[in-house]
Amino acid sequence: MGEIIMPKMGDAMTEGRVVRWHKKAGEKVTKGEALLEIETDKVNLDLEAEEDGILDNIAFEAGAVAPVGAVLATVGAPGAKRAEKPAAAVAPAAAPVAAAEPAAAAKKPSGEISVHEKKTAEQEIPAGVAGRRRSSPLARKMAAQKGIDLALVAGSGPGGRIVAADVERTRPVSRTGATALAPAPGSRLPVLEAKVVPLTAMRRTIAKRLAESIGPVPHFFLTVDLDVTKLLQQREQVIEITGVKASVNDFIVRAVALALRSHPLVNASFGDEAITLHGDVHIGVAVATPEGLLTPVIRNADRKSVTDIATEVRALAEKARSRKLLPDEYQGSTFTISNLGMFGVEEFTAIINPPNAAILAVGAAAQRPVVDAGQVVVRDRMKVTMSCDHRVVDGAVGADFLRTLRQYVEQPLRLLI
Amino acid sequence: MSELTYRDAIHRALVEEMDRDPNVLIMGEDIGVYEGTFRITAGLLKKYGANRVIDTPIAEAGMVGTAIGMAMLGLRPIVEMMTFNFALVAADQILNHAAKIRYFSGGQVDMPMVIRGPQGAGVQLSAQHSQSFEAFYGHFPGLIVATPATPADAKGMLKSAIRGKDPVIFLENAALYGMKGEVPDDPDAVEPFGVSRVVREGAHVTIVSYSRMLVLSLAAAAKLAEEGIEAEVIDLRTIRPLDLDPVYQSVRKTHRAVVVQEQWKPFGAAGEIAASITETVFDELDAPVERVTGEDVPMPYARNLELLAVPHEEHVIAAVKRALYRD
Amino acid sequence: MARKKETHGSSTHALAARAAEWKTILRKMIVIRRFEEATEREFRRGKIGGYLHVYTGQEAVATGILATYRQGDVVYAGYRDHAQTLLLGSDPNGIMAELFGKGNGISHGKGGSMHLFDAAHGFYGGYGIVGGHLTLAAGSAYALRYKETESIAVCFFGDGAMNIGSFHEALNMAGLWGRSGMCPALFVIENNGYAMGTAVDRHSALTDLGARFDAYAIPNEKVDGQDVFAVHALAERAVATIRETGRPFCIEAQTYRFSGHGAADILQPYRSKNEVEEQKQRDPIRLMITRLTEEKIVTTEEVEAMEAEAQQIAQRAVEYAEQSPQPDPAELFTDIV
Repeated sequence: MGEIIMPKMGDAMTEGRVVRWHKKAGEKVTKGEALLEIETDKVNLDLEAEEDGILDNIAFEAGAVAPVGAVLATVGAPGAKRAEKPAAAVAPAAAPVAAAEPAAAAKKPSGEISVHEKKTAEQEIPAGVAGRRRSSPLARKMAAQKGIDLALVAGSGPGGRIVAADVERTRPVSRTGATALAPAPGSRLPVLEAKVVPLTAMRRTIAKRLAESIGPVPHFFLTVDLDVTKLLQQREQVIEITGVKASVNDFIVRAVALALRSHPLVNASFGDEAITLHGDVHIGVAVATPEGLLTPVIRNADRKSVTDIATEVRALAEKARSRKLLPDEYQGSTFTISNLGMFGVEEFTAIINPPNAAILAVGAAAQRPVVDAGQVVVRDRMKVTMSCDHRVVDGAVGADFLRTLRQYVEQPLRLLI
Repeated sequence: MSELTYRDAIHRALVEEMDRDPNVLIMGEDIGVYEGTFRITAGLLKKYGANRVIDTPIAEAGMVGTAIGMAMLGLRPIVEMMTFNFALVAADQILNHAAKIRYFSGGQVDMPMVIRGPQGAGVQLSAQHSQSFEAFYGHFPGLIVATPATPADAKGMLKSAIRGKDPVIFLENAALYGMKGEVPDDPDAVEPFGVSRVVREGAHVTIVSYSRMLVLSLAAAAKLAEEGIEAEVIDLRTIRPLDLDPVYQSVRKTHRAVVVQEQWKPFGAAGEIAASITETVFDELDAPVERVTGEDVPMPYARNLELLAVPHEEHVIAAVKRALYRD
Repeated sequence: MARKKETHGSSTHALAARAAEWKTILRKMIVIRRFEEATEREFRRGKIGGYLHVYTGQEAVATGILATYRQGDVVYAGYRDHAQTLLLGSDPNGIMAELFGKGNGISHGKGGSMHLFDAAHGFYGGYGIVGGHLTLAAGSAYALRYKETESIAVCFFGDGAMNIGSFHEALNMAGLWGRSGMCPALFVIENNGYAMGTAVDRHSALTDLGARFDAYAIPNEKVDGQDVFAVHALAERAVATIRETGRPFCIEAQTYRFSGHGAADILQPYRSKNEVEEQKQRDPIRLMITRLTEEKIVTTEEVEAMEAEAQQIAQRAVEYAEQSPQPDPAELFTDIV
């Protein structure tokens, strides 16, 4: 009894479809006679009887798809019957992938495998990619070893990438120390409430803008230690003469504004196609409010006196705290100053307020011993750190600006003329 | 030890191996009567006769294919490519035949043959005569790709190539032919394939290179040292097999790597090496692996353009500084 | 040397004198036919993968020529290479196991149908790049003379292999080396009329294919490739000359393949069924049987016995291949640098 199989007609053929049977089961057929038409991915063709006999055991009716090698029917002597339907006996001949990997295929039904795979894929999506700070692989490894939270490290590499050197100069925060300070059982200290504070629109914007800043903006930092002895004396006089309670920061705003006039690259913005050098000097002044940071803008600060600046800052700060600031009162700065001196912070770095090219972080003025002409003397000193967008401001440009700033701050008479 | 040029080291290797084994023969265009375009084969015809020093027609596929037929029967043919640019004509013979027969025959035959000759940029040879092929051949399993940078390696590695059982693409660099160096006299001093070498130690950055670019890299390293930057320079010596263990070791120390190649950047050897470094010692890196390569254009003829198209010392120095965040 | 260009036929004289030899040749041709039928069947059953090109219809060419084979000769072929391998004495079981991709195939399952290889029996490979192996044969011929042997290289290739660059490069060098007796090579054009589906007059500017060898100073003769007596007679003469002179020679055997180009060549739109049927009237095996029975060299019973034996060889090979284990996964990384 001859078997009619689904023949492999091409190199890549694994199955074929029965289009129609030309003969019925039980019909007599002769060698060379067309039995059925099959369809492959390339051609339709007739399969012919290879011997004379009775067509029987049709296992795949018209329309059915059969794997290569499957017995479609038999041709044999009249009455010859197979014990069972041929199809049941046929192993799917063309399963080359499964055959090559029997172990893997044997483990689980294919359906389960695919579910499992999907799960794995989901788990592998790293959480919080969007907010991730750039850091070199080595920096991450070192930070992990030293127990340093990279979120607390300023990156000095391109695009603010935290590199090994940045981690090296960061002191680890003791995690075990935090545990030790936790209240002991039975402590009378009030239990602090844990709660989730939803993001306000403002906090959201601050987060977005500052993250945007530290992400694409290649920051670098320049710190100078300024002598403000004279400036403090002069401030006393100004208050005495005008009655306006100008702060040290108001003097710094004025000094920065004047210095910017001689350094247009610091009073600038980086754009995709060009760098904009701003014609006007508008100084943003960071003001802490209960909801967070706002930066009201002192427009044309280079054209305003210290007392004008003082009055305007006071008014804007008040509006900021009561959330009455209008957009054109906090937009359009060309440079920003952030002062944490009143909190006793000696020195810090600030994140650039885009699209500014730089920000000045002002620390507290304090009396410190300095060497002056070979003598140790006590002077009022103040450290300021400028963060620069390296795409616009190169190191030397920033340093040059700070030299000018120093002249204004250390010879404060210049601020009044 | 003798002081020999790279050219004479290759010549010496050929003579020693032809003296040692009568199955070694050499064939190529104008290698006999003409004595070779680069005079590597000068004097060989007279010494070994026309059956062992075969002047072929200009027919690279013919040369390589017949060499394959010889190698399978136990001869050790050396095919000289006047320049490797011409070997493209024989690509089917090299890649589809020489590289695969040992494998698809299930190891029934060996393929002891060498295809050698110069490659790389010369002086105003323009687009069709200035190319580098190590990555091209390095892509194909079944081949060995040697890129010697010194006279000693040129001699020792060519001897290994002739004595081996696999087809060797032996890429000389014409610009190195005049370079002098100490070369062992011992006719049995051979250099193995797949063994990279640290040629200069340094703690700050790893420079990976081979062939003529090694010379460039060493010169750059010397200049960097004047600025206090100590570069470790590694000579890969063979592109296939590629021994990157010394590179990984070095990067564990320096945390930054610069790979220098003369050929075009896309899909080049440097890309393969950089990817391997990233795969293997990812957590050791403090900066992206830098690549120094030729410009992505056919070689122009005009000298000033040509000089712009190939890597120079200052490119290596600049790449090192980028890797060190000192640019 | 004078070249004869006419197609040679076989004369009847002296057939009886070599009766045993003819019987061996007939038996081999029948084995090839049954073996190839089995490979096609197993391809249809999905047991043989990749590309499969069978020799059905061309048996007289390889059989007539390789009847001159001597130990030490080396033989090359294209990818239609089952017949040559069988003729050189490779184990049919090992060949079929190779086609099945099994570990005890003659190349451990790493070559397959297009790359059969049996160096121990003088077969230096089937090659899948059309025309790429002619250079190899020329080089091997050189090596055989270099080693001062009397062996020769035999290179089979189709009419379609005559149009790539390395064909020209190989034959020019062969002709050149032949001048100093350094290229004892027999080049055999298996001209079956088609380069895949492109007829000779559509792929070759000069349809007299043998004449192309004139350009390389290589003597060449044509023969009726369906007439095994004629093929054999010419081969004997050519091979004797080659062994003696160390110069190459070309035989253009005009033949016909009955099957498609490959197993996937189902429709064969390039030729008509009538043409194939007509050609099948000149089945080389049938022609030989008729001739040998007319000459009373073989009896019908003997032929039937040969058929049965061949059928059994093919069947056994299939069973052997079927039962053979797959290659050890470690084979993946052996036989390579």
